[in-house]
Amino acid sequence: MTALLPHLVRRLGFYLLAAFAALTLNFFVPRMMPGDPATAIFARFQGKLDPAALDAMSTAFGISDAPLYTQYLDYLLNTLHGELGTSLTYFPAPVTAVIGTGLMWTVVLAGTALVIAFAAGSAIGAWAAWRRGGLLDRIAPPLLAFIGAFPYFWLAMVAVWGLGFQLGWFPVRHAYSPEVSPGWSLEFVGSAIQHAFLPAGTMIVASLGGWLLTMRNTMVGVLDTDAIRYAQARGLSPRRILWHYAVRNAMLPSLTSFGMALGFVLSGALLTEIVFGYPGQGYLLLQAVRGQDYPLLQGLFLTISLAVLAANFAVDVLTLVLDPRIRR
Amino acid sequence: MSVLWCHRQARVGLILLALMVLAVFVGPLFVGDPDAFVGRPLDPPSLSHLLGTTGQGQDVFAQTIVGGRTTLGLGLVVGLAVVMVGSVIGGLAGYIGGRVDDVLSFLINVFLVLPGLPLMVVLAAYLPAGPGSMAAVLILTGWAWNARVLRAQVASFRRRDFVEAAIVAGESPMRVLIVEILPNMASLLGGSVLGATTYAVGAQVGLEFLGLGDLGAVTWGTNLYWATNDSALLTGSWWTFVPTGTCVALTGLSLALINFGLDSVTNPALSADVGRGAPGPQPTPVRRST
Amino acid sequence: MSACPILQIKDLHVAYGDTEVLAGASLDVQAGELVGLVGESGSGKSTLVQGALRLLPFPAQINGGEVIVDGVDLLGLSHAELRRTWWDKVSLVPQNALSALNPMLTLRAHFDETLLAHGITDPAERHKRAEDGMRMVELAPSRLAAHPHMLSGGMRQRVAIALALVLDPQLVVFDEPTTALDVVVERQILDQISSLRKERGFGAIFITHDLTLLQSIADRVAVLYAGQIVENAPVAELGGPKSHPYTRGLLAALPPRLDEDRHAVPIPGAPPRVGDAIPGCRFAPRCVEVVAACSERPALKLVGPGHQVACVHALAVESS
Repeated sequence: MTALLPHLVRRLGFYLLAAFAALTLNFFVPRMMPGDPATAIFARFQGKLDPAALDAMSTAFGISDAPLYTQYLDYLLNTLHGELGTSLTYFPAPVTAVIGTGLMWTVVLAGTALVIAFAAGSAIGAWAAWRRGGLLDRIAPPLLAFIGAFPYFWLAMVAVWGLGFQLGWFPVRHAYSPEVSPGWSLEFVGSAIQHAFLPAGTMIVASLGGWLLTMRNTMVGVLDTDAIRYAQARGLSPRRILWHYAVRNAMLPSLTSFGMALGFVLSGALLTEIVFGYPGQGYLLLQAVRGQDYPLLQGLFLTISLAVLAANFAVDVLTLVLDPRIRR
Repeated sequence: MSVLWCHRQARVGLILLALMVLAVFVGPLFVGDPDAFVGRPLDPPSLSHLLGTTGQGQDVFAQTIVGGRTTLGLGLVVGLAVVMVGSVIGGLAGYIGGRVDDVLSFLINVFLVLPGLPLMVVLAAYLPAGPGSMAAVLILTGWAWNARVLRAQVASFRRRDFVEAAIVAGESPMRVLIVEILPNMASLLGGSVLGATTYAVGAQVGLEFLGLGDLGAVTWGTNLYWATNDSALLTGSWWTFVPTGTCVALTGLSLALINFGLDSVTNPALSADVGRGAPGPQPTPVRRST
Repeated sequence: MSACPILQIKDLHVAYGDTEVLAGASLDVQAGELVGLVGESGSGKSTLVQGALRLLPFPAQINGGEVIVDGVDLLGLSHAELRRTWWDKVSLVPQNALSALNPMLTLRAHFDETLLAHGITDPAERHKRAEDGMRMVELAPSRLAAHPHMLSGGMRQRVAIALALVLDPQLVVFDEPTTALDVVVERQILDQISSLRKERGFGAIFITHDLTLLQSIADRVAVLYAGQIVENAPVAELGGPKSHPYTRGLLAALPPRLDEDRHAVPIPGAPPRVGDAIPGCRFAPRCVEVVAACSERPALKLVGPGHQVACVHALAVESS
């Protein structure tokens, strides 16, 4: 394990640097945007916020008279303290609270959909490659490529129309029924699952093809190598070859992609949330954009960036642990 | 190109793509003005209006055909641009190596971990509407992936014997890149362009659907935006969004099929007709003629 | 030399789809002897052996012939039966151990899985066999805990040899085992193979494109040209007066040793491409001794004890 330390430190270094870059980018973007955040905020907040909070907001949006680098440092300090400002559209809720509510829904919805799509897609893809030239192998790739080629929200809309309106099997909007109050009751959880069906289901159907194809192609490549021939020549059973040679060697590239996708979970559910009115991060992002809610926008962007970086780092660590070739 | 034609799936893809390109670039000459009011709003398909009318009484057929021109056109241009930017940056990083590589790789990695869709949404919201802004947003969020792939390829080619030989023989770096390395990457570049175009079309449609594009223009994305706005689902007017969606899907399908063909050419093991569906590696079969 | 062949390949035909790559090749290996299989790249050396063992991947298929090992025709066995025969009766040493070994598994795991697949259920027994194997090829048993990429090329090839011998097979196929190694390591590996053969008494097929190698280790050599065996001779008879023109050409093309008074003379032209239909002798277009009769494909004729040549010039003798 100690042999891995220098690699880990290097990767951590990169991610810290990237996080820093994300923070900096976040600082400069409002200052570069057309329109005047300064006036907007001032006009809406004057008299409603205490001077300290107003100062923090001003700093974050480049309103103050202090030189740029002071503003930058103040912004960094504020951010590290979790002081992200107050949302304009959800006034007077602080940005952190607004993001907090959205976070859970997005993570649960998109996270579940990703895990299911990845697991099912990879499993089917691996199976298709194992039974090379069989029915599954010949039909699945083009079929799923076609389904995946439809714009995601289009599939979602068709699902809403068909399964939601026409057949009435599933609810078509929101994360849970408005009659049920949030909490850990069975009723609430049940309602949440029912409401998650269409959004998650459409996400899974749309992304299944991608995972399937990636795994299939990787497996086909692995099955073509000398190692498989050699394993066969030694009389190893097909089961042994499937799991310890084919799957084990094909897993790594897939896992790397999975990790990256995991990072994007916070952002990837955007279209889903909008079509289904699901109150997650993506939905909030669009609201923030439309409402010129700069504090919320900045906060959302920050959380998403940091989540992506964290997920990528986790994948890097996992790869380091699983691939013996990197250790020396 | 001829090799691609032999591949059944690629052939279908090429024909499909050709038909679509023909339809959207030549078609507008034959259909009426997509913005014109031609009949009762939300009229189902009929003989007078092949695909019915929109919520604003416009001809869906005309909108579908004309919409494709901008979407496909911009998609192809952006696809090419993304690959060009990606190859230049990735190629330089892979070829020169050392410090330059460190800096460029860092840049690529940062752009890779920036969340694409939110960034797109934010940029699209704040830039003035129009194809130029759309192109800029798409290129900015899309170049990094290609850059990484191409960097890895160029770096591996750089170390190959025939490249080292060319360098020692005194060929200029430009010549080495263009004459020695580039031809070997033809299929990878082709595949990248296909992928980037798919991404460009999809992202365009997505952003416009969210209302972040040029709402005055007629594109596939705006067609879908207006369809939702006019409550297509609630009124059951499927003809206002099915044709456009299907066109987008057919475009994506054709590009994917061509890509399958390209994959098979570079890696024959990936062709569709290898193996007979038996589980795993099998012993060589014995077929006696008598 | 005892007349009990451990492997008999009779008239093997291998094709890739419609293209025939091996048109009726026959080869015998007697117990304890080392048969060299030599030919240019693409001549079909690996195809012959891998095809005989039914290890060629899709789209290869066997269109005819027999492959007898221990009285059983491999071409008639089921997948399950083949799995028991593989490695137990015939094993392989691959050309490049790095690509043949599983990078995810330790060396010990490779031994364990091979032994388990052949019914050695006792862990202590497996442990012992693996360690004995390593010692046999002069490697420390502690290296078993390593992963393939951690060893040098030469060490990896030795592990491959140890693995090939772990079930005590009658026949070991060496598929260009030293091509990827430098000459010093190559010599070590060859010496290792020779001493192991003396110790264990297994028969071997040694595939290579390097004829000089075979001159020092082989008992017999089979020469392959364009998918056909053109000569099968005791190593001492190679290049002699009864030899095939191609063999003589190969020897003449070798760089001369310091004590030899000759220049290397390459064979003009190039071998035919796979699938090119050539009536008659396939070497005729490049042969210096070509005559009109070469337009008919010559059969392998016995020209001396244990010496067969497929050439119209070969004078057949009575088989003893």
